[in-house]
Amino acid sequence: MEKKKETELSTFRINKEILDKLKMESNKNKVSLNVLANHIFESHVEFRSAAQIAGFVYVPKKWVTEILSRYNVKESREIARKLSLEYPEAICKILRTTFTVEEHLNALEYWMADSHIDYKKEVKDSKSNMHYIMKWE
Amino acid sequence: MGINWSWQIAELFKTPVESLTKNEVKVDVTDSTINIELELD
Repeated sequence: MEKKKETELSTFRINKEILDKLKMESNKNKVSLNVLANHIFESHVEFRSAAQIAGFVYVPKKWVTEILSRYNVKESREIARKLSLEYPEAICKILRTTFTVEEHLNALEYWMADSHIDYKKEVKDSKSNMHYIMKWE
Repeated sequence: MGINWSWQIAELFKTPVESLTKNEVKVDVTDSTINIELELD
């Protein structure tokens, strides 16, 4: 069982307009404002701040899909392999100073959550045997 | 989102993990699903 994370009480003064929008979002997603705020802070600290430094930008999925459709599978995989050797290491070193498999997978999970990529993770018989499943329309 | 998009994500797992562990990462990719099996030891 995962150990419960230690928390500490902190008070913030927030622009009312922003707070109202956050309350609306928490109602819509049926989560408390506290859960939503923690999710925003965690996502910033664990992924977004490092991604920004590493050169990530937001572009529409359709844009990426359109560009990738100009390549055949072999060319597309070559691009993916090249970038997969550069960016994960850069991200891990900014976030945690070292590049290990565990830290890389952890950063990827934050990236997928932040990118709304639904995934399921199964840890098999031993902790070192894992299965990730992703599905979309 | 297409097979090329699926491979971009699959390689984000496969390439770095294989480089770090020297173990083969098994991937099964279609245009709408990705299955990835990793062995870290």
